[in-house]
Amino acid sequence: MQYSSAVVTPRIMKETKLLLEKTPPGVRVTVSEENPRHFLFDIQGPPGSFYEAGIFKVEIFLPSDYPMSPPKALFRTKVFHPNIDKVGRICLDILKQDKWTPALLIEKVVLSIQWLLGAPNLDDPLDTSVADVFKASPEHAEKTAREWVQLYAK
Amino acid sequence: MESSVPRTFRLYEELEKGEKAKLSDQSVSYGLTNGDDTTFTNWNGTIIGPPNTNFDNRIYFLTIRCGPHYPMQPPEVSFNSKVNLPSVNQANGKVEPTKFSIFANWKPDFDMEKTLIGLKNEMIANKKLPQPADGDMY
Repeated sequence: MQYSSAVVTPRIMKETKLLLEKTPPGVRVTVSEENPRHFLFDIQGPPGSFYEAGIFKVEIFLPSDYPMSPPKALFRTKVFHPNIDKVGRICLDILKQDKWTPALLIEKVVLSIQWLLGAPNLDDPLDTSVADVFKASPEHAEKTAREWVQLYAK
Repeated sequence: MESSVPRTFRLYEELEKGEKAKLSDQSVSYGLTNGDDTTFTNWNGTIIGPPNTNFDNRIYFLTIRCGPHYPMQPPEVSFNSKVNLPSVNQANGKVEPTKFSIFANWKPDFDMEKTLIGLKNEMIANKKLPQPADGDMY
């Protein structure tokens, strides 16, 4: 059975309440006024990472069969990172249908995205040209990543 | 497409559909004008002129703009290639929303593919209309 995505399930209501009342540190959340399945996050780059000085906009949308299917997530802030591509696609295990389990929460997704910023995975790159820079010259990668933070994530 | 999907995710679905060549009609295509446009606003489209019409053997280039209210409102579409069609403003190539039935009867579950196929169907419906020289641009 196909639910309309405008329908808010008790599970989503509960998760939303939790997110708003106990927002994890370094995260701001807004629920879209038009669509209660649509969340707008500001995620602080993890301390000690190339991205520490930045605030990154990430949109999350819960598909109609959530939590059977994982949330959809896209970066809306440009970021120089091997696992995030030019249009904001994110390469993260738990966002994939075969790795997602309904026991996971939106909060877990957001924290994993924040963690991913601090832990670039060069074995599974989404943008190979960015990954090549990270492999060839970590110093150059750091410089570009920090420049992009100054340009786009302020 | 599902109409209650927010703009970002809706256009992202359309991007993936266009990139993976999953369009149901192989004679139309589209993609982002700038591959790093995270706002998903400006797109390029193409239509291959339908066979057995005056549009045959031509590739039509179009500009598509999905504004902040897309898909609640239709995109803005212009032909870059000169074309003689009833819905197209002959001065600048703009598809006039009031004259193009897909736009006049727009629903949020319509998408760029449906728009391009609609324009292709207008070519078929006007197959004998005299056309400008191939390659002329606005």
